[in-house]
Amino acid sequence: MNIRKIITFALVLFAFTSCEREENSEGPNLDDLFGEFKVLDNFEVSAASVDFSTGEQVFFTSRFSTISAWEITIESTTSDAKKVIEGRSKVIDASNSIWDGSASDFPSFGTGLCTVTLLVLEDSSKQSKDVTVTGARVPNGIVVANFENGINPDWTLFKQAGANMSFVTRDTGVVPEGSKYLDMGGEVDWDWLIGLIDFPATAYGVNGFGLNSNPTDLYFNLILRKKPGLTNGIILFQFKEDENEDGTFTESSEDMYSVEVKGKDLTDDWSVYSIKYTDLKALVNGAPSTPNGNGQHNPDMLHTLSCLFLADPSSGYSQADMDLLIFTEGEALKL
Amino acid sequence: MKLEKYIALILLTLFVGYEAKAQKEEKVRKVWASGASRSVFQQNNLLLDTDTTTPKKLMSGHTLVDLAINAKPNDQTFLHGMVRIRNDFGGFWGSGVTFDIRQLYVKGLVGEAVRYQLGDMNYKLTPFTFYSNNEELSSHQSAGLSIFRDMVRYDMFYDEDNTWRQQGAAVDFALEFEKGIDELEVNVFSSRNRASDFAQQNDRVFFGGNMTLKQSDLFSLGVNYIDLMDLAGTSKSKNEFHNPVVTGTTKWNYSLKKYDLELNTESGVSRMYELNTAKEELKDFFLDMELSGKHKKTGTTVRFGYTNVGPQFRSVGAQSKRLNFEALNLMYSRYENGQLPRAISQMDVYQDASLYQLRLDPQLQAFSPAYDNVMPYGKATPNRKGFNLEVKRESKNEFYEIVLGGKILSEIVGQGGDDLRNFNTLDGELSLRFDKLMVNRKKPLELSLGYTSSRTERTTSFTEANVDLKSAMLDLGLKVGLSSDFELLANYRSITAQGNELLSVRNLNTEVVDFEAYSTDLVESLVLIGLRYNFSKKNRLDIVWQKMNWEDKKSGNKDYGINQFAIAYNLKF
Repeated sequence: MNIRKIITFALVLFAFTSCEREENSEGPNLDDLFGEFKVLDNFEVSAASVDFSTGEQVFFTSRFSTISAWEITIESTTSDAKKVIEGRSKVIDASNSIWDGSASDFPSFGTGLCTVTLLVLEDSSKQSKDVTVTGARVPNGIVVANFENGINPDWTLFKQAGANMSFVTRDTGVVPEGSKYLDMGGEVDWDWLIGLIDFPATAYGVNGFGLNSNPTDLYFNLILRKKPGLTNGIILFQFKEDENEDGTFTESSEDMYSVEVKGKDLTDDWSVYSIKYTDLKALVNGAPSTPNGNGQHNPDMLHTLSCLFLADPSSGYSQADMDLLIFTEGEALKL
Repeated sequence: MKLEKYIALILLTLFVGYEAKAQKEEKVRKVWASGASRSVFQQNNLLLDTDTTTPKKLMSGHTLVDLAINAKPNDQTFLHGMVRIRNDFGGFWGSGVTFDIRQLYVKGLVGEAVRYQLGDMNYKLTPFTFYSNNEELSSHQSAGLSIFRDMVRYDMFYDEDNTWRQQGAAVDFALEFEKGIDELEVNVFSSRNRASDFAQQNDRVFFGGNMTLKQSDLFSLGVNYIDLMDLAGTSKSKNEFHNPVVTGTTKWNYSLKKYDLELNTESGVSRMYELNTAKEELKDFFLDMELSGKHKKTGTTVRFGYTNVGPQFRSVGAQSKRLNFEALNLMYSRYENGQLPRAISQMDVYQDASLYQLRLDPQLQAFSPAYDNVMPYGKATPNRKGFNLEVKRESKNEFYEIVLGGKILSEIVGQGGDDLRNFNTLDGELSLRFDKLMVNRKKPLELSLGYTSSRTERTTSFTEANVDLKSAMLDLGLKVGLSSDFELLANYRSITAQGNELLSVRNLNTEVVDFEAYSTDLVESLVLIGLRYNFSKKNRLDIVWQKMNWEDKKSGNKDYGINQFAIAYNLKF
């Protein structure tokens, strides 16, 4: 037997015998998917009452004999607030059913009794429990404005002398957060600007906005809606950074980043709009431009946040409602 | 846009200037032009009476020119730059003129011993390390069906050698020896798979190579290594992905009195892991052997092989697919009054370049069980073991060629339990060239017949988890030379698939985490008739009419048909 044959045979034998392989089957067990369905542990809630304002959370538990699709619906008995948690598993526990007081859609949860219903899609069975919310959830982040106390005198509000001007706080209808929101509206037929509000860092104490320096971990969020049929508005936010920390913003030599939300992109219902700070762009008349400062996003140096409400002067009356301007870290705002 | 126009203008100027000079210096060509051009016009008609929403008639087309400047400033260096100018006529392929740098590379020789290439390159290693597997439905394709398939492959840089288009660098050299060993060949390459976003996504590179020791014409031994890995420090992310694969190959030739024998083996191991994450490491091995024998007198070849690819074997360069079955078709992407997405059909596979991809993907991508449920990721499909056999014979006068083959495979580990799937395929192809029997006939008269069938079965203790999926493809092709330049092309292709499967649902680490029921009763048929005029070997005009019918009673989508009339002009220079 020549050397070539020996080498080949040896290599093949070596490859075949020297490796060991796990023989476990792949994927979930078929018993868990297609076996007989039974509820092994009934639906329970971890606490009868919860105070979300102090950071408390509540979770739900149940256990089935097979992997099943389930849906937990939490509904307030005092408002239209609703939260839906969905999953597909054999076990419902703290790893997949935590409720932190947030809602799936507006309005947010206030205090009061809530009904929690578990629907198991496998057999369409339902079980219900109650939980009482003793403290409403406070969104975790740095609040710039929630309009609960109206217009802060440390802000700068300007509105044109146009027709049907608003820029007032209101408490009518569905309020997404708290009890008040800002109504921005008016008709200005000589200028794009209808009105603006400047939120200077000095209005928030000696530490200003208190934002961290990492723009990739910071989100700017707000809640907006438009009036039915009105799509001509543009809401422009400008983030003016004081990079030399001299206490002033110099437009010609310091960065200003912006984001536009156009009326045609708004809905008639309240929605959360979020943008990561690092995704803000330098804009001139809505077009991307080169920033005038160090070209880096420095949220910790934010001097002033400006909100401008604009509309084409030939397009007539325009209006948009706004609530809860808030910076959050790590993720966008949850309702 | 301005930059592309500027570059195109420079290249055109260079072409005009240097081509004029090159004509004077015919003996030593230092700069010359090459490229391709085509013009395609298509008119499509959706045949579905109950659809009152979708525009039924769609017209589209484009003209494009690929203009390349080739330069050979010295014997050791070759430069190639190609610009594409494309003008779409409108319709679902868009409109407007686009300029694009299609490819750019330099290659050469260092010290008359080391070859290198920088820039765009086509590269491959072995079917288990770095290999571009043919797309589904590409077997048994005669001239008619190849008209548009060849355009797609040209656009996507897919070639007959199963290479992947990459951007990077490659070096190869060989060492010859006086005795004992004939030659040692070394090939190494590196390319960038993904660019950093400077935030949470690292630069990802693909590198590797091959070393083959050719002891003689009778024996050679090789080792291959590839790794797709993240470069730490190129973004803020601490996660680092790695997929190293090491394989060894042997090739042994032996000539008997009546037979030539060849034994090829490849075996290796793979790992896939991501540092600083909770993802489990996947590691496994494979073995592939093929013994082939050729009868010297008749030319009949018999191949017999065995393969064993572990369920956790991962090799991004070998398992990435050409077709993206999760993409939407360009043509009639939605149809019916409910505007449901139209499933990818065989006509889309042959013609729609937007369904194809060049990027290597670490996920085991979606596939079509109706088209290929047995080896959707080529030879490197994980969790397969079994035998294959192929017999091929070609007559000495080239009148006929016949190929018959089959595979008997099974899973290595079960999914959801211990019961294994069994896979069987049967494949046959017969080509008849009647013009080879006719002494005075120089024009082609060819008939081809191809058939592929496969079956996947599994029986478990749960009816819902039982699997029985059958599919078959029948292809008939005809090519008749009407004159020295005119040819008539005709094709009929039928694809059927019936039964059910329980498809794997995988997480981002490619582990099976769930199953999804799949059921099909698919019948597709396509008829094609075409006229071809050959201006020359590299220049032709095709006029084609084809009609496809599609139905799948289990899909919930309505049956439909598509008529297509197309004119395609192709030129290479």
